[in-house]
Amino acid sequence: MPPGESLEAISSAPLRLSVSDEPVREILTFALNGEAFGVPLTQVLEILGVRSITRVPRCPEDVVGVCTVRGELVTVVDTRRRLEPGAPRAQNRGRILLTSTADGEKVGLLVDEVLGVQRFSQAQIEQTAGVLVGDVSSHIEGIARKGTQVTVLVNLASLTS
Amino acid sequence: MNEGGDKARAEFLSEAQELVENLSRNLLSLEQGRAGGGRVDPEHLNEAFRSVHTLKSLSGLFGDKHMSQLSHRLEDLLDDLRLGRQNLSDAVLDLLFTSVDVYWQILTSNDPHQEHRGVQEILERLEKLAPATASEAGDLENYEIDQGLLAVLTEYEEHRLLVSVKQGLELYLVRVQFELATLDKALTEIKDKAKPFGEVITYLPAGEAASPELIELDLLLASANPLSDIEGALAGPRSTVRQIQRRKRPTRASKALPRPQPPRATRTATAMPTEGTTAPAAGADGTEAPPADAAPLGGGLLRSVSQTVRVDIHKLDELMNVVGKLAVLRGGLMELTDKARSEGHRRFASQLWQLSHKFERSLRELQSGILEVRMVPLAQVFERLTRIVRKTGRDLNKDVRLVVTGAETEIDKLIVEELSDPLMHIIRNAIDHGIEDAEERKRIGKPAVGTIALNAFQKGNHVVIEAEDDGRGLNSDSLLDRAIALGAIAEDEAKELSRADALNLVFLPGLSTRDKPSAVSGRGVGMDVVKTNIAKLGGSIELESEPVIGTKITLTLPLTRAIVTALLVQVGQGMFAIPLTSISEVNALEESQIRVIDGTEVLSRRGSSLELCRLRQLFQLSADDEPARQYVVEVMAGTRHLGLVVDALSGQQDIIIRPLGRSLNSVRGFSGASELADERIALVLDPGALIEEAGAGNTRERGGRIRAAG
Repeated sequence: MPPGESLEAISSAPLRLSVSDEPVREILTFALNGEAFGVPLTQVLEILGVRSITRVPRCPEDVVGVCTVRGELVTVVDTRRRLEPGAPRAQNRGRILLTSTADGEKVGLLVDEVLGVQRFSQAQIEQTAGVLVGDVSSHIEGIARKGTQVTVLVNLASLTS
Repeated sequence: MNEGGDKARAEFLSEAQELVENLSRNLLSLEQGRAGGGRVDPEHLNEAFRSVHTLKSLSGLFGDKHMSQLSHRLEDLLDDLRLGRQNLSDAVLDLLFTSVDVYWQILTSNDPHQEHRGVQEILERLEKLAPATASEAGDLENYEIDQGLLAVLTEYEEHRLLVSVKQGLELYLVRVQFELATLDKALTEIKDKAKPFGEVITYLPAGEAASPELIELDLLLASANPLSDIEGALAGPRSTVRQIQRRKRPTRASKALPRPQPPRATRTATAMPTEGTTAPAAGADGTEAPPADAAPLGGGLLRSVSQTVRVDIHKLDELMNVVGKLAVLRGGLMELTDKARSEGHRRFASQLWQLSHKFERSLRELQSGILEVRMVPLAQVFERLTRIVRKTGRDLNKDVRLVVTGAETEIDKLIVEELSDPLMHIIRNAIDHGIEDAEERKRIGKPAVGTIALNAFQKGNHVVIEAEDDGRGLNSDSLLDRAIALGAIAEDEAKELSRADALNLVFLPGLSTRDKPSAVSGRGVGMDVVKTNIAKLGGSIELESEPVIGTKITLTLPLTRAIVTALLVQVGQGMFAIPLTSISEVNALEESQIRVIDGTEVLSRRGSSLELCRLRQLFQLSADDEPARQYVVEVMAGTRHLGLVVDALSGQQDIIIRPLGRSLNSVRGFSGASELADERIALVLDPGALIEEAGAGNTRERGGRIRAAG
């Protein structure tokens, strides 16, 4: 195949998508205790595999500890405990979603399993701001539905601060 | 703005900062020169002029309007000063110091287009400055001086000559022969030799050299010394000294010096007073002074004198990170060596061992090289403080003298940067709250001028900075009252506090010794903030104060934070690092030596007692796997000590401390974490914070609640 053709094929693909209808959000979904959660894909720098996490004595209950990624120190957050205070402590397994806070600090979110990437249109996302109450609700941005499948969208900025 | 522009601006700012510092330094020297006998070294004026001149071109280049305007005016003023068209009065000196402050204002604001209140004000003040024409009618007619030589003098040189003559100095003409090839060096040498005797007003080619490789110069020297001294110092096989004779009686020669050019037109030639004043026209007839840049001798001088490069400190941090990674690699190499040995590859193992040791040695060299580059003298921050003392003293109408020793003591650049605020606070407090006003000082028989002594020195791996004032000292009763009012201590506790403990209350948040806030140091005083900031640098702060005699604050700081040697210890399953600089002793724990006083475990030996902190308990680990033999690591912060009980010692290692993330901000007792050579992570213990938390030292036994408040 001449190179010109393949280039055209690639560049035309996203065009068609964006013409079709409203903006689409790409969400990385993960499992916590059997439930599906999601964060914007663009905000996840990397998905890290199992590694040793050093516990920090006297640290808050919802922090697992610290680990290093290529020499950089990362605080690993017990995502489930942050979303559900009082939940049993996470074990050192699963995956770590590496994210960066507004001030450049690297924070890892420990999750049970990464499910995949899903695209949601705005119509499929229900904003929950002001609907839910309680400490935890501030971490939740909305709920995305696709058929019977429900994904809880997490507000990363609030979760990692 | 694009990244390149940002970078260029950052470089501009850093260069401008250096120039302003240089200006400030020379102004201070001028002021000291005046205070100490009225003689002003013209070199300081020239240096100040040069800094401002460079600032002018630099700010013009970068479109910094304010800095450019200010520099322009200042350059005129400094030029007038060095040409004697303006007197260096108190008012002028004040104006110059204010302009340094305005420069800082401009430099520290991020927005180059922001309007600064100070700029307009100082421009107006500079404008208003009356051009006081200093009388300097020194009588040149009394000297047998060659008119041809006079004709080629620049305005500045002429001014210096007149000043010298007015002082009644002798004039000498030193004729020297140099090889053209080494002219620069030889010229500097002879100028240095002449400097102790007087001032080299100018040097001109004499044009009588014996060969084309040689050049002959005449140096005009003004000195108070007799001919024999000058000959002794400067005469040699290639140089002769001739005294310019004074005339017996005044002739009726021309009153004024011949001026080859109108004064303003000589600006270009005088812009760089020492580098640019070489006039080549030998035996010039007085009709024309050629522009300085046409000087054949100037070529060598155009080369950059400086051999230094400017480096962003964060680049050095990055390099240090690479050192850290190399250390991890070395760990792997060592491991491989052990493995090879244990598997019987003895020759291979020994080669590997040698290699890894060479590697280690080079790594250490690299590391210490980077550390050395990071070191800067404390003078950088001390100079700013001298200005603060000047300004604060004036604002409060108090006469205060700052005596600095040990400004050459070196410390990590990043620490110097962070020291500025705390030291400023301490000094301001000393002037505002410590030093009494002149009347009160006189009444109690103290010298009218208050003294603040700033003393720095290196002590092992630490730098100690002492700030001592001869003021009224802290009032412990009023500190106690405030602490009680704040609810930090109970009244009955207050009665039992020793004076030293009561003084330490000054570090409690929100405690002020003044009822009314002042514009200078405010109400909160902020000693708690000072303490926190010093602790963040890994340092400690101590305070001693005697009523009427004064207050002394001692800061103890690590030399660097970039890399520290640490003792690795084990507690439970975890590995922890303790900076070696804060360890005074390590011993096996002898349970028999432990006594319990007021519910606190104390180790007593050799007549002293040491409070213990069992890290297992602090970290809430179960006692099940506690080893039979434990160790006590005695750590210190300033003069306070604490014994940390650990399970095992695991050797030393150089570590790079990384701060813990914000999610862990609330966790006390750690200054960060570090990746070890075996890729494990060790948390770095913060002895200062642990001592603080334990309330160890003297506060613990008596005033337990102070801990909670702090």
